[in-house]
Amino acid sequence: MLNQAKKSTDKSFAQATLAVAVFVMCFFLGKAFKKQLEMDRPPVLASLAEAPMPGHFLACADMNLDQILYLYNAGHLIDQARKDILFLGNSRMLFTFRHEALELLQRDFGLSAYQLAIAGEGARYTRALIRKHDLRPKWVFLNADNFLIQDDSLLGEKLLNGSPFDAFKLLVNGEVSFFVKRHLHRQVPYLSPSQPIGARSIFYRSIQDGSIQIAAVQGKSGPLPFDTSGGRATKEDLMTASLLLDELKSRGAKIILICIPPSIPPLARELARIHSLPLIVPEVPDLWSIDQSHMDYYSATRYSQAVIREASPYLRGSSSGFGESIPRSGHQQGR
Amino acid sequence: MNFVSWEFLLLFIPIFAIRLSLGRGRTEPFFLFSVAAASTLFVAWHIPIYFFIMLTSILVDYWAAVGILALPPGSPRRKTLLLASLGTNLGLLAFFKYTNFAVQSVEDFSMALGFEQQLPRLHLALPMGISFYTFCSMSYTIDVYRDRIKPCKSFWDFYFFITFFPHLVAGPIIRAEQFIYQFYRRRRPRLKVLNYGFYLIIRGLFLKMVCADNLGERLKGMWEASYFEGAPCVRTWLVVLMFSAQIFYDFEGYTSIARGLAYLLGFRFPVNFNNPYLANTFKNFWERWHITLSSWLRDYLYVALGGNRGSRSRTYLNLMLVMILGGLWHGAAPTFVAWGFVHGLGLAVERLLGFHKRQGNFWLRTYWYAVVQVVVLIAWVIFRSDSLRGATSIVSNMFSFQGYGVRDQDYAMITLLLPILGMHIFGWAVERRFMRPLGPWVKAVFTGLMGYAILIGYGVNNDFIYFAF
Repeated sequence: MLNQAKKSTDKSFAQATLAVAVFVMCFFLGKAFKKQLEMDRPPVLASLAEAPMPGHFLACADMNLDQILYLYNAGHLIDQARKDILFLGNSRMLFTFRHEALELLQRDFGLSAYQLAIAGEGARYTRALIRKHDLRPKWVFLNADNFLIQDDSLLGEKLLNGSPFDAFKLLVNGEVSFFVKRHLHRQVPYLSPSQPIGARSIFYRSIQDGSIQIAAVQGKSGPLPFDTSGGRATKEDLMTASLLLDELKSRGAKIILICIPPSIPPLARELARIHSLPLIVPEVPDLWSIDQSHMDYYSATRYSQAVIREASPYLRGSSSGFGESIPRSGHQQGR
Repeated sequence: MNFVSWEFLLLFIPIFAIRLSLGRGRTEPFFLFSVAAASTLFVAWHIPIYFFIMLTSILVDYWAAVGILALPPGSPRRKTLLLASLGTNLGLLAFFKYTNFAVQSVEDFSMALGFEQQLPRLHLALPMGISFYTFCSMSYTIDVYRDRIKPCKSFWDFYFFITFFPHLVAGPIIRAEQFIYQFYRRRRPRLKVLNYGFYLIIRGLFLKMVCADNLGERLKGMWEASYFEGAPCVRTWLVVLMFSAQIFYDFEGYTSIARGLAYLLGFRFPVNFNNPYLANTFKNFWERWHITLSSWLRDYLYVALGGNRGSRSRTYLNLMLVMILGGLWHGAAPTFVAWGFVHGLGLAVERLLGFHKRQGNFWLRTYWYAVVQVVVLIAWVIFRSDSLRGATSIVSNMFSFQGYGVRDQDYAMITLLLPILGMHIFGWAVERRFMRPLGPWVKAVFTGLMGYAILIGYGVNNDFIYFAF
């Protein structure tokens, strides 16, 4: 009977070994033929992601982890945002005003700056962040496009209505998923038939100034299209957009509205007129995008420098009066 | 907590390590305590305070069973205690699941009578697994009342039985008599059992992560498109077949993982699915689909209503009622009620025609098989749709016999129907004894292959469909 039990255990051990051997064989075959198997499929973005620079944290992988970290001030991140200038908006703001632009403001104007734009999120979330952490910047550069009127993202809604524990679970899952995918798909091809398509990006953010370090991006680069479409802003849009403006004003912030190509909606002009705010849309030719929506590094540098140049009279306090709308300096038409 | 998540892996690995190292002989109590602690954490992970809702159900049912046993047979107080137990469980279920449905129904009724009113609604998340653990718990008290089983020796045994995490969220709905005796068995970790447990887990993960999640992701848009009048007939059929495959993969995948986890921890769960799309009668469908729910409904509801012991019309009524309540169990929406109604009607008509006995010549049986499967597909349309109107739209597109509409990217999805086809063909061959069931060597090869397939083909993680119930 003991012999039978031993034989049974040996057989089971052999079966387990067979399963592992089959798996290992598939793994090495898959690794050897990874390129052929993937053919023209886009690779898993996480597997292309470079490592973060020192002083940077994972901000966006399959979801916005920065939203969670900022909302709950994890690692005192939001405390870093108590600076003279805040950049608020969505991913266009984030990709345009990078570390060099923030450094320029410090160097030339003696003003510290923090990039607090949140990719894919609307103004309500930003307002919630500002209120929760009682942020009181002196200046705000605000991108005046659909960021001001769009609804919360699903994640934003979850975070604003959920508990810290729910947020913690999302954060852990997001970070671990990224880590696993990043290492796994360097060795293993990804052949899912429902692989999502379209522009996506993975990026880190600086703890110090919130600026972006792009780890990987997917999408077709090309000339940045301009989009001035959209009819006259509705009364509801203006009221919704004004909520963030009023909140910032009540905190003593001076606001400079910006439009970032490709999105230059009529809403921006209406808001500037109603609130007597400057609206800056500099004329910068030959802008290039990484994914038809966000500027590449060189275009972002040129555009942000142009914006800061045009904003300098306000920042130096030498404009005839804050609150007067400067004429829009123009934008590329019909590209 | 989802089985397909990192936090679950972090929870399970230490428990499994304890099982391998300590879960034998005198250290068994520590192992059982660890599993109970892990189960408590599993329950509380969703919304911590909801643990107390489950605890309420556990406390009431445990003490009701103890009280029932203490009273003499025939005592009317036994029934009072039973009703207290059923009332608590059904009350909790009704409160969380059906309050808003009831409110909506009252509003709709008022509207129909000509006066509009807006009543307050409940904005509470549904406690995870409430539909499953309340049924589990009720079956225990009912079985004690019927003298089928003795109550648990201790409160902790009962607590362990209800909270045991592999079956907590989406079944199988375990009966006390199937599970509690397993506490007192010797439970040495045997490699053969561990192999089988791993095979079930990998199989479940493959069905869920590769098959169900990929289908689910693509189906989101395709289903919406099928609502439109004039949607192509062939593509609509494809969409419906994809959903019938997705829900099978999802639920069978979950159950497979649950059974595998239970095996690894030294417990055995009943099978919950048995190639349901081979069913050639409605009765047979419910002997193959969500077996533990259908047997629960049969033993505790159908039999209590009189079963088939009364007149014919009473039997048909009982079948309809049980299936409608079964539909309602899935969710508080007219579509679920209608889904249950369709199945109830199918069972009643089948019994009326005498087809439930699966007799008759080959052509008659084949014809009825086709009828059953088409009705099951139509019922899935109702189950999945946002509204009855939407379901009607899809069904009329299915039978318009106009339009092809299958796109290039849809063909990749058709490959995901191959596993379910293969499983059912193989299952049919085994039932007919043309082939033998898979042996452990073949399962070992499949484990390796499916394990790798998960790494290369996992879809976007969607929650298990039955988590919503």
